[in-house]
Amino acid sequence: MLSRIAPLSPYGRDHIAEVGFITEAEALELLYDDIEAAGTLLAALGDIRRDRLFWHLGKLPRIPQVDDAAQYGLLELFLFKKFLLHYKNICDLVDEVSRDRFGLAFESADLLGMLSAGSRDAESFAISEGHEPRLGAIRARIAEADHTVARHMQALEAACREAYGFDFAGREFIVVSTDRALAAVEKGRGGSCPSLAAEPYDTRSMIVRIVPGAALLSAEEQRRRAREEERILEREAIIRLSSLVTAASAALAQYCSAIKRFDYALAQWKLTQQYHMVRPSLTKGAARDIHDMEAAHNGRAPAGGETPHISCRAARLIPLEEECASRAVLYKPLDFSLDKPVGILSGSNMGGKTCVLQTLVFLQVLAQCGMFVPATYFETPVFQWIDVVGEAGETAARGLSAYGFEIRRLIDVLRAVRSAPGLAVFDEFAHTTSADEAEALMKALVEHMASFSGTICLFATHIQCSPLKSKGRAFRMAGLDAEHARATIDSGEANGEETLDALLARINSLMRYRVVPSDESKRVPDSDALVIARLLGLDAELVDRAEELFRLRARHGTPCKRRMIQSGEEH
Amino acid sequence: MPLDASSFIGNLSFFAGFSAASGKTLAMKAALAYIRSVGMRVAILCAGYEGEGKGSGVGGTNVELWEGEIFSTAAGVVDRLDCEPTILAGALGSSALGPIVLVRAGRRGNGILVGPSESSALAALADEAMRAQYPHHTVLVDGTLDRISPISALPNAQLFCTVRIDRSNLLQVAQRMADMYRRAHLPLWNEGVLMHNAPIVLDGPLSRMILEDYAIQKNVAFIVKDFTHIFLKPQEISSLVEQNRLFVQKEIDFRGYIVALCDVDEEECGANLPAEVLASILSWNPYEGEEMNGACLEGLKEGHHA
Repeated sequence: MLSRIAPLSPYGRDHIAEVGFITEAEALELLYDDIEAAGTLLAALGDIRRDRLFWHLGKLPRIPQVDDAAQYGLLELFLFKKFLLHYKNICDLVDEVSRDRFGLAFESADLLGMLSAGSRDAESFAISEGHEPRLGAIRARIAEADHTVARHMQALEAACREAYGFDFAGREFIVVSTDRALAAVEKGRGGSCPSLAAEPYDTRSMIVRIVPGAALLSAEEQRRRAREEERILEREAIIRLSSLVTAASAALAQYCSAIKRFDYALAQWKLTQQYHMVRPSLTKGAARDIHDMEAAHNGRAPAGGETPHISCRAARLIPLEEECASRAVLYKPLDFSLDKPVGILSGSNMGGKTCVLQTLVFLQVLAQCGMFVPATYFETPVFQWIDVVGEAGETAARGLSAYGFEIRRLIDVLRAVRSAPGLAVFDEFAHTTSADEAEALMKALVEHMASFSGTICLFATHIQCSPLKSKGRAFRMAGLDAEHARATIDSGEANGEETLDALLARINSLMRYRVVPSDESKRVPDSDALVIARLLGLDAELVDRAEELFRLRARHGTPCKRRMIQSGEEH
Repeated sequence: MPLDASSFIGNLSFFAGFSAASGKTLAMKAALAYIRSVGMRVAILCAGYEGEGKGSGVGGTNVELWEGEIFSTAAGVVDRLDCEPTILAGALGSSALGPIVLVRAGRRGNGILVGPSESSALAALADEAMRAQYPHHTVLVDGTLDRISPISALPNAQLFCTVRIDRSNLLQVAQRMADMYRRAHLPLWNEGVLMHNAPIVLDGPLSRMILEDYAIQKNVAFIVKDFTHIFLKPQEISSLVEQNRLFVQKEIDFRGYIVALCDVDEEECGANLPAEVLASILSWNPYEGEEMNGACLEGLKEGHHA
């Protein structure tokens, strides 16, 4: 999402590089307040003033680093002037409340006035008589010399046309036949016509130039001397202006800082409008500051305190929503609420478990980066860390199996959970090991994680697992609409010969992507996985046989499903 | 149509050549003289800068400026210019001589032309130059070495190609002129073009490697952004065009050639060029002082067509 934030100034863009995971509620609330303040300001400005504000922000240049020893050139002074001009206009456009909030004060009218002295237009910059009055007389002398030079050149060109038939037409030289060139040079030596210089161009023609006369050379020399005087005065003016800029270094630094914050907040507000985002509601007390935790640290974080609570309505995982749109598939936002330390989410393959976890993590990360979130409501604590265990993409490089990598990651999480409250997310934990061992490990992990206060753990798993009622909640994805799935299969439409997009669209239309409490569900379907396999076009005989075996084992109570017994408290 | 002020006024003109010392800067200065002769002012930009090459210790093209003219230069040399420079915009790209700035000359004087190497920065520079001249703009861009690609980023630019022909390079340059002419007149893609297979639309260049990548798809057509994105041999281009397999999305307005002949006369040069290429020659030498030049050129073209 960071790449979608589009500040208009280089300083606002700098802010994006500084965005990080924030663990202090106050700092986050301040950033949220900034975004809201930006929105309030834009709403009050009206279209025309808003466009002007954006235009000035877009025109702000990055100014050079100001230091005491700096000696600036024309470009640097131009940049300071341009920055101050647009910054002042920005300050003039915003209301007092916004000026106070973002520190948009302009106190450099004198400096801007000095830099603008004698300018022909607002933004450009030149050393003028406004900066150095003595330049006036010198520049008048140069203009006079220029006039003399131009007059002489015109006279010489006219004389050449008349005497030799050569039309220079403002060109530095012309190319003529050797015979004509030599004749003209010879004629010029007589003194009655302009002198010419010639040099060979090729074997049959020559390059011919006008030789300037003494009057012209004299005018050029006068100009050169005046220019030298002018250069010295310009240098003095530059030094004076540089020292004025240096004296204003503190104010300039403050302006840059204010613009950085203001422009970034405006860009964030535009993002919230574009993606229909809302301000997160941060719950207090559940996940305390890491330093408070350390004070009470005794191997484990202390029990007690307020119960952490995550709740969202119509939450959207923007990249997935966009992918669905590109595939013309309906995207279903997430409603979810967890008021216990542990949440366990089960459900069929392709039922959306992982997307639920991704959505919650997406929202939490945005919220803790000081951003609004794509939802109609999001309430959450401020965690000290977020960790997701479940992707084993780097296992080969690390020389570990997928399982080994997961265990290493789990050790990291346990280390973190002992030091401070956080959000731990496990996607299909231990799914690569044997069913019985995975079940045992999962049970132990759920028990263990439930004993930490302030931390929230979310599990997506195929293992049926019920945590302690006081410490967790079990959910499942609503899964396939069995009736419609059966109708689709019976119709013979699912023959596996469609494109992957078409197959996915069909499964999507049959899947109920919503989270329901596990205990409220009427009946766990026999096997959505086998129905999905059939929908995807797997050989019917193979699926028939698999279903037969599945029902047989279920009847005989064979531990086909990974089932966890309830924990000791409920016994 | 021979060169005169109307060839340039109101346009953004890009001067390119096949090699160094092909006469780009001289042609541009000649254009400058045409424009000034009718009392108009101009913006002069540069893609890269003269002396940019390896081992060069100096840089920039010296050009005499008139009051009110706009040009691109390096920030590091602005305070050395004697044309009373006013900085209008900057920094717009960079060069080895420092950041690039757009400057207006406050009086007649010398300027040092320096421009950005990056095409996007050149486009931004051209945009600022046109904005500074609003509502009427006349912009000349001095290309660097044999790079034509920067024109791709310039809005509605017209291309002038300069060539210097002598006895040693006559045949070679004549072939390159014909090749360039063919590239500049590739068919424009439109939805009405019937294809057996879906054409390949390329964002980047069309090179031999790309051709080989798609060799398995027989008769597939390629659509490139414009001809500056084609890096194929003349025979390969001809073959693709003959098979109706090469199109451009955007035409570049190729205005023609500005030639400087050296020890070669017009008849001999023209005899080595296809008629349509000969017809695209705008000037045999923009510094020619002989009055017969224009008539000679027109007569030669008529003879060739006959």
